[in-house]
Amino acid sequence: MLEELYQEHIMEHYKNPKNKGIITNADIDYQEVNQLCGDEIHLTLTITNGKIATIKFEGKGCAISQSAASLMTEYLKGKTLTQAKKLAQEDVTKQLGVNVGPGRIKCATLIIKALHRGIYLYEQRRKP
Amino acid sequence: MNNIKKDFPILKRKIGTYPLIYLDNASATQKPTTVLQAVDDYYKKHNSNVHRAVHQLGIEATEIYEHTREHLAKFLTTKPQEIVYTTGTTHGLNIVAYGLLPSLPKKSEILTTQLEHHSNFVPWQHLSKHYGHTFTPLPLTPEGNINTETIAQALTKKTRILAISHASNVTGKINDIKNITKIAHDNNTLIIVDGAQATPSMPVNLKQLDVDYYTLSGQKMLAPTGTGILYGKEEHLEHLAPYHLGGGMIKNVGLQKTTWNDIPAKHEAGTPNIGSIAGITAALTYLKKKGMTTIYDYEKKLSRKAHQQLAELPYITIYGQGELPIISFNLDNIHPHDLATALNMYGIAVRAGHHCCQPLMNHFKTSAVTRASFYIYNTEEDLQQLTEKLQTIKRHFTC
Repeated sequence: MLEELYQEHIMEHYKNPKNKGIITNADIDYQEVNQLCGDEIHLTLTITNGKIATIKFEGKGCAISQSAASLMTEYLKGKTLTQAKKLAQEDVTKQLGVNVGPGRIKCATLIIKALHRGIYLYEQRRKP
Repeated sequence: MNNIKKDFPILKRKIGTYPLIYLDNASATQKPTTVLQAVDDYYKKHNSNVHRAVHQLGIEATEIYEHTREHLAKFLTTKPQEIVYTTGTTHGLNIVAYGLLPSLPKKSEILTTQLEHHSNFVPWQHLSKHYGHTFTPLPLTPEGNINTETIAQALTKKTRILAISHASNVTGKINDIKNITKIAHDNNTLIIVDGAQATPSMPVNLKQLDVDYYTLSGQKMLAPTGTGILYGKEEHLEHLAPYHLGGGMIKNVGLQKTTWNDIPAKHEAGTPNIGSIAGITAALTYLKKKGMTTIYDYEKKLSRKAHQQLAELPYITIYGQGELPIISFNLDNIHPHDLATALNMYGIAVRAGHHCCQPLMNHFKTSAVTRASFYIYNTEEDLQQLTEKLQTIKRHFTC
């Protein structure tokens, strides 16, 4: 049962996350906190021709939030901002390969929340 | 406290295939059948509004409402007019903070401690700033306790308010309120006590404690959610400016001036949560039947046992230790939410997070902890299950 939620690949991404770090001079730089448990994600991206060129995150928190951040940043590389804006809860669940349930969905989607807020502010800034 | 789980219908349910072991009592306790019955009876037989109608149902609803107040007064050794109904401890503390702080001389000192729940911290912090007072959260010992000495030394001529909890919702540590009150009063300082964690678990005699204000929550002591009280000494409640304005709290409304109702109605604007309040008497009756001293002894024993047992697991870090069976801990570097999710898979309900005590979390140099809090229906067998499952989870997360 424990194995169903905390699958090997989730634990692997938790222990050895991909795309850890902070990009200096990033186009998007945003920090999001999960009020529920205090999980934090600091997300930085560079954008080239409307596409995500590089993406990194720093963060602390539970296995779900941190492995989701690792998986999603992998997934997001090369995606357009339009694609990124369309990402929803189901996409995170798909990448995680497991339904985390209503109690933990906010942990899983923290990375998406940070991404969407970051993109929103980025686009606001670029408006003429 | 033998075999009382049967009095609580919800404790029969299963989480998946596992029987529920409910260890989140510091947040909300479960309700015995008698409480559920009382609420059901109210809506089936007496439901209407209070203090308004002369019809039979209105009379009965008012009787239930006011009798409950008398029961509460007796339970806490005080007078009915000193009991104001609230939605819970937070509401009570806001009534006092909003009522008192504007009336104090500028640059008054407001003391609280770093172990407080946010509800006994944020209102004082925010309103002190707003009204130009000094807000001082007193430091703790490494174990997360407040020393009476620290309080005594912090009092000055300008200290008007000391806001402190009777028992911590993170460590279960009880503060010596009687002694602290004496120290505060010797300095002409008002003492406001958050009794949310203490009242469900120990005898509380407000006359003896002599505090100025005391708050508690019904949902932590077998009563329905959305209930609570603010106790205030009669002369204080008379002078305290009302925080909630509207129906029920007035005596006379003119076009330019309104006079307030007598206490406690003055502090109870709007239609109260009568249906839930109707369950309080049954809760108090249940507690009285068990005996608050017996409950206190039982909980102290459970607390000692729980600390002993969890301390034997080398990978568990326990934060603080108190008389009440509220144990906050971390298991290695497993995040509390992962741990709580894992325990839930075995039917064990614990709480994970900062427990509305971020200053205390900072003191403990952690952002979150897992908290197991026991109540009268919990047994040593429940504790045994918790210990075993922690071992299982540790094995899983290590491999």
